[in-house]
Amino acid sequence: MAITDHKLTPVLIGIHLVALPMYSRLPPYILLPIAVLTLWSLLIIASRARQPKAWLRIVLAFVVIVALLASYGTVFGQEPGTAMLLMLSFLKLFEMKARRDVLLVIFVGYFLVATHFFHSQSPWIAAYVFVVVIYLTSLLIVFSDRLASTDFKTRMKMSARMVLQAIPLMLVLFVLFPRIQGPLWSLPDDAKSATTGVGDENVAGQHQRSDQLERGGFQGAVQGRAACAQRPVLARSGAVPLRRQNLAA
Amino acid sequence: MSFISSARAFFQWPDFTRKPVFKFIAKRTGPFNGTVTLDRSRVYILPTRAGLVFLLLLLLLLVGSLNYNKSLGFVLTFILLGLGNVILFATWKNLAGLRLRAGGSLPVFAGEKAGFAVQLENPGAHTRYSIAVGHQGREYEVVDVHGEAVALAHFQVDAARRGILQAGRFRLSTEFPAGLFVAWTWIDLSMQSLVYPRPALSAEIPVSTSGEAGDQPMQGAGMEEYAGLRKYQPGDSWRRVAWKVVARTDELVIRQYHGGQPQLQWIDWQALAMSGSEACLSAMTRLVIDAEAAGRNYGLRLPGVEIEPAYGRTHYGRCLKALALYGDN
Repeated sequence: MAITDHKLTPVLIGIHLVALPMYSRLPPYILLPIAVLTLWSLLIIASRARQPKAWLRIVLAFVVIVALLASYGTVFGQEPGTAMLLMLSFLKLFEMKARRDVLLVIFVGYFLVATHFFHSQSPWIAAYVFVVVIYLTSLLIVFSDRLASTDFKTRMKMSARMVLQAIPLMLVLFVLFPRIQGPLWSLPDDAKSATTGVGDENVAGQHQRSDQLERGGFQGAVQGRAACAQRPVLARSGAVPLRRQNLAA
Repeated sequence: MSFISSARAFFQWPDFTRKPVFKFIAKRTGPFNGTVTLDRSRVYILPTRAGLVFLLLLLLLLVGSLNYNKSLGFVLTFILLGLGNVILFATWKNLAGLRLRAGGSLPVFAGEKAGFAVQLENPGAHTRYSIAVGHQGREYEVVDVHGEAVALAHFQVDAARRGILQAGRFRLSTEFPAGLFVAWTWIDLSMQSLVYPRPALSAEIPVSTSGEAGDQPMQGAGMEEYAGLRKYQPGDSWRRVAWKVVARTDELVIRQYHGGQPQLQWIDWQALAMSGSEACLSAMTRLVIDAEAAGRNYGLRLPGVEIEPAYGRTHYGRCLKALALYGDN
């Protein structure tokens, strides 16, 4: 099944709906490519142009990796991983050949909405995710409706009904499913990190992000003359937002 | 889809139902006469490859929720699990409960494809979307069946040999509403089509023929004299319809000619005297087609069968049917 342009627009909207709560915290080097990719795919949809050639898609993939490295210094971990999945979803829009490509993007969307809960578990974000799940499910309907005989309203209704019907089972499992105290394995370094701090080793540029955060990772009142001697070392590392009143003490 | 297609191949294995162990399958898939309702025992369902990927996604989400101990992560995971469950039932219900009846089929010549129609009746109120009909591993048509309505789904079967062609088992399947599951059924509605012999490329009537044909003075179409119009009667050749008059008066009339009788021709098995009965039937089929096209009066003689000379669609069909079924009792 060839993916026609008019069917790509809802998918593009879907990815943006998924990503909306992330936009406030994504670094500019990630937001910029996302904006460019969005405009580009809109252009392709509007002008019925062909999807970019394979070599161009490879170049785009490299640009994405570079953007990730420039922003996070790595592609692994919770934040860079989320950003990467998001950008790859946008890239996939340029390579839609069969239905399974679209389904993959929708599944990644389901996964990405879950990552919002790392940052907030407020009722608002829960309600938002619920709505996005209904929208993503309506996309599943778009791509299994082979004669394109359903309209947006019908699909949203069907989708909402199905998601609502899923709630009883969710409640049962939510109550009965055993919880494990502590992590499944001892690995998730990022479970409580992803904020700021000083590691055991000092590598140049490692602490660059710390001073971007408003709430300090480490604050200490430095007392006495001896402490003052340490100042240049800490200042070079850039890890500690030194405040004048601390030093004055 | 490899799993599904292997399952498909499994169910299409021709000898499958002859083995006593699998008689229960035969009982479910037919052949049936009349209306068949797709009930529990006839609708199968399995996840598609996308469905398996969805399951993998659920596992990932579960592990993530457990690992980071996020309550809302669990909520989302279980909602999606519930959604998968709802979709499973929705896909199944999209097919189950349909009522099937055989539709018609038109006769074809051997070597062509025989078209069959299945009537899908939806007794429920909701539309059943995107139901595909397939035969021999090929998909032919996708239809929507609206609530309390009937839709026709068509498929084709290669008509290799003359005679009666059994449509055999066909497949109805649907992935609606999510593409995560595929529900399908195999049904044989004992549909048949008449297959005429494959016409020979060309065939000649031997010059000297039996009695009557020789007595008839040879008359070309150009020798006939226009004699007037009369009302169309079933069996008249469409070639003689006076379309200009029909367009003017809205009455179906045909032109009549003096010189009266159209040329008479016996298409005779004996006279052809060809080696091989199939080749002979092919040649006779060609002669019947040509004679009908030329608007001649023609009769058919097969061993044990004789059809009096006449012309028109009904006669044409009768002759071809006799040729198609020759030798079958």
